[in-house]
Amino acid sequence: MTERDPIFTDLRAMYEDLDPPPAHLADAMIAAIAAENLDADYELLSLLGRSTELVGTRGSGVITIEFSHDETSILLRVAEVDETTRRVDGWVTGAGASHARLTAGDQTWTADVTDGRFEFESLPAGLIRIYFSGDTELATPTFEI
Amino acid sequence: MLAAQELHRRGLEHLHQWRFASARREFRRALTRDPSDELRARILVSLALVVAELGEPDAGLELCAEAHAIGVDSPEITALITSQEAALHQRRGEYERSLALYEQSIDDLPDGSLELANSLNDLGVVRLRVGDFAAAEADFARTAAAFEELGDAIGHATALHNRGYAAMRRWDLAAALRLMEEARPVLAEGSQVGLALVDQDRAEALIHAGMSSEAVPLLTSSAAILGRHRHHQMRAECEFVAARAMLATDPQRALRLARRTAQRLRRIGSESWALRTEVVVAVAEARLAPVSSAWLERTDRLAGDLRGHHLDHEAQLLDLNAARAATGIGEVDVALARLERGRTSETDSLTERLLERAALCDLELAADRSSEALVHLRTGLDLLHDWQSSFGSLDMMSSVVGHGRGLATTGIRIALADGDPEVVFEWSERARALTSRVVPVRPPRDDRAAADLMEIRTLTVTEPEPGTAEARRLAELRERVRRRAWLDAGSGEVHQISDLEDVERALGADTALVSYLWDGDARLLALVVTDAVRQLVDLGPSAPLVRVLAGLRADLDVNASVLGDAMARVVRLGLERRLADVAAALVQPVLDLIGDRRVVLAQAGILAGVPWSMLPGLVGRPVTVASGATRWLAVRGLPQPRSAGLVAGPGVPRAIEEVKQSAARWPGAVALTDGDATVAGTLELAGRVDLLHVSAHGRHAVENPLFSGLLLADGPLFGYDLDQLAEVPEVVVLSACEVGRSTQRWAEESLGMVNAWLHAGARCVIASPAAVADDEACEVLQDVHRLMAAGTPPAVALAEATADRPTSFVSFGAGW
Repeated sequence: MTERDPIFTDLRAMYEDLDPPPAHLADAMIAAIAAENLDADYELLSLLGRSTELVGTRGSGVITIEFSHDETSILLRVAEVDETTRRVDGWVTGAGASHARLTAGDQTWTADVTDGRFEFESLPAGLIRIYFSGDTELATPTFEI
Repeated sequence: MLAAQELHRRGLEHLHQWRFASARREFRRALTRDPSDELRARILVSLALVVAELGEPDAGLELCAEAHAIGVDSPEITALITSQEAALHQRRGEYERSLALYEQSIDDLPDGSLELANSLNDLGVVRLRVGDFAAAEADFARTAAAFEELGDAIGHATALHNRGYAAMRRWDLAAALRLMEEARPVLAEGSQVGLALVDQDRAEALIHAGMSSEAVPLLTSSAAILGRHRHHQMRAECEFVAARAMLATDPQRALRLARRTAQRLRRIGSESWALRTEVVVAVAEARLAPVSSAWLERTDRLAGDLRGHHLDHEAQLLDLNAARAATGIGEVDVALARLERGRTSETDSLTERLLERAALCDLELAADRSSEALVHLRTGLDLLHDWQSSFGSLDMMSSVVGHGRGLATTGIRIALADGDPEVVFEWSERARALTSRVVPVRPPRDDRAAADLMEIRTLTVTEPEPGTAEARRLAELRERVRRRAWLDAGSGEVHQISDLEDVERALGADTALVSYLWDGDARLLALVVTDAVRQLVDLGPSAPLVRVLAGLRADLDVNASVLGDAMARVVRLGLERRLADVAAALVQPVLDLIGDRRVVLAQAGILAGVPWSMLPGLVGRPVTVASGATRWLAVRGLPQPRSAGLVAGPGVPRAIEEVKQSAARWPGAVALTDGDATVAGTLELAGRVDLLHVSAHGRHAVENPLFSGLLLADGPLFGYDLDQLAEVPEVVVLSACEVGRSTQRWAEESLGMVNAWLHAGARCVIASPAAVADDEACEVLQDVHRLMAAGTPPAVALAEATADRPTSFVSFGAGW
């Protein structure tokens, strides 16, 4: 138990008392997600880390994010173009990926993966998800850039 | 019951605090308390001002007439009423009438009176409006003295500020900002409205300095404050300035704002300001689309109306813009006529004089006389350089380049179309790195700046969360350091462009000059000069290369970091492919011409960040990136450094090893490590060695490039800290990430840590435009020192040390 847990317990008790969720909500959510079945064909990459330091270098500032699944590793470098625009450069090993598809809300971008290298020049800041197609169909969880 | 006198006094107090409605109430009550004739006249005069400020200028003039009609037999009272009439005419934009009334009344106002001080100030404002800036400056100097005598600190500060404004209109920006800066703290103590007006004027000075993007938010917030306080006229004036500032960057937005503002001004009966605002509307329209003959007729009438209101300066601006627009649609006769009417003289402002040169150039080009066109562009750029050389601040110098951007780009285009290498050489030197032509001066050491920088360092140790008090303090301090640097005076001297023959002679048989040129739009070219050739090489469209370069920094950054084997292979492969693509575009086409010569390279602004020493074809070859051939010629021939100082910042595992090993190569070298590697220690060391080496974490600050930093024991060393140096080392090695990066301003002008050192007087700087690996830097740079200590020039040493292990370190300035 961490030192925060008692606070969370108290918070949970307060909300259950003052503003409980509707009885059917949890079941309805599970059913809705199952019905969407969006990720059935994709193996999910897991987030390994997110850092503003480039290990072993003399600088910092840009964000790097790493994901992996079995033998596959994904490395992303997220650069701020301006307050609301991001550039994402990425590298993928071991998946034989040939295309990357990126979704943000209801928008989609695609990029070729050439020898493991891909890039998205201009993306809105916010939550995104990237799908890779190739030998294995892979997807990152949703994450923020 | 309060006496009339007391009510009048109270009203004046409200008036002083900009509370017009309350003032009006007190004055009206005072009139009902049976004042003497003289006091009645005085109250009417005060009331006249208040009703005018509340939007009824005609009623104000009627009240003045009423005051005259009382017939008090006193020159002083008559002068008082007359000068108030002058003030009311001024507010209606009737400056000639106002000027005449002031001249008639001002000498009869009693010495040491508030009325005299106020009238002198208003007289200065009128002189400003009619364009007599030098006289206005003298009026404000008298005003300041008058308020000082009265012990009125706010009045004194207002006069100082206004004097600064007049100096700005004479294009003496350093003096302008100095006076405004002196006045601001006092005025900021006063009302919100007062501060809004001060900021509006500062914004105008910023626009002159080419910093429109910083001026617009200042104007928007000032306009909002003035609007909230219902100062409709002042708000509209503020929006007029904002619209004019947006012309350069966003004509569409300028057009919308100017149209709305012109309507608002008409509604409040301010015809002369509405006419000024229509100039912005017309110019914005011309920027957005080719003009029609109806537009030409309309602007002709507008110019006439402006001159009718004695707004000659505005009319001239409009005529010159109209001349360009007319040339653009082939109406050469109209263009000539407008140009003739809008001719400038030496007393006109730089904006008009540069605009006139651009218009003359357009006309020559329309007649296919390109060499005549170039003459006008040269004259224009020389004007700009003379003015630029009055600044000591690198930040300011590089931002005012915006005024000449259009001229420089046109010059490059004409030269490239002409194709004569000599003409191309001249324009590549003129257009690029406009700041490097100004002879630098070492600013005097400023203890206040040093103290602010120290506080910034303390706050930067952990970057504070946005929105906290620390973050606000940090922003305020950065702003203050920046603003203070703007006040430094420049040398007033400009380097002449070198002759191509002189450059060729200096290059000799073993060095080539490769000057990359971008035509500002679509194509990239290289001018190659050796003892065998002078040749212009077309490198093709720039767009694909720009796309390739966009991902290059990502490749370099990630390649420099420690990765797993599989990932390292993928990253390395991607980087090599991209470097090969960049080399195919930039190096391959010139390789035959340069042979195996060393290369002095001048890069177009869009190529900043290219790690030249990693490109196939240049690997292992001495290359030095100079801001131009002229500059290289002036600083080349580096003497062998005799003393070295090396500094290791914290948190870099191999920095101490690198510094100690490198120091061992230099007799008597000083190495600062651990707690000794402070900013003060480093600056002190830099002031007494020929070669300075700093191994540290580095960071380029994109928004505020002179706040790029090298992290030392007590915080970052900034570009601004270099101003504290009395002596600058000849060679500087920055063994840190990305401090070789720069921020692009105006396409060809860049600013960053390297420029800061070069401008301060260093002759050669070795730095990296991307991240560097700790291990690589440690090993490569020790070898560079071994070679340099044995007498090899820096760029040659770098090439030798990296021939079999290319790194992103680049030699800037004169590498040999």
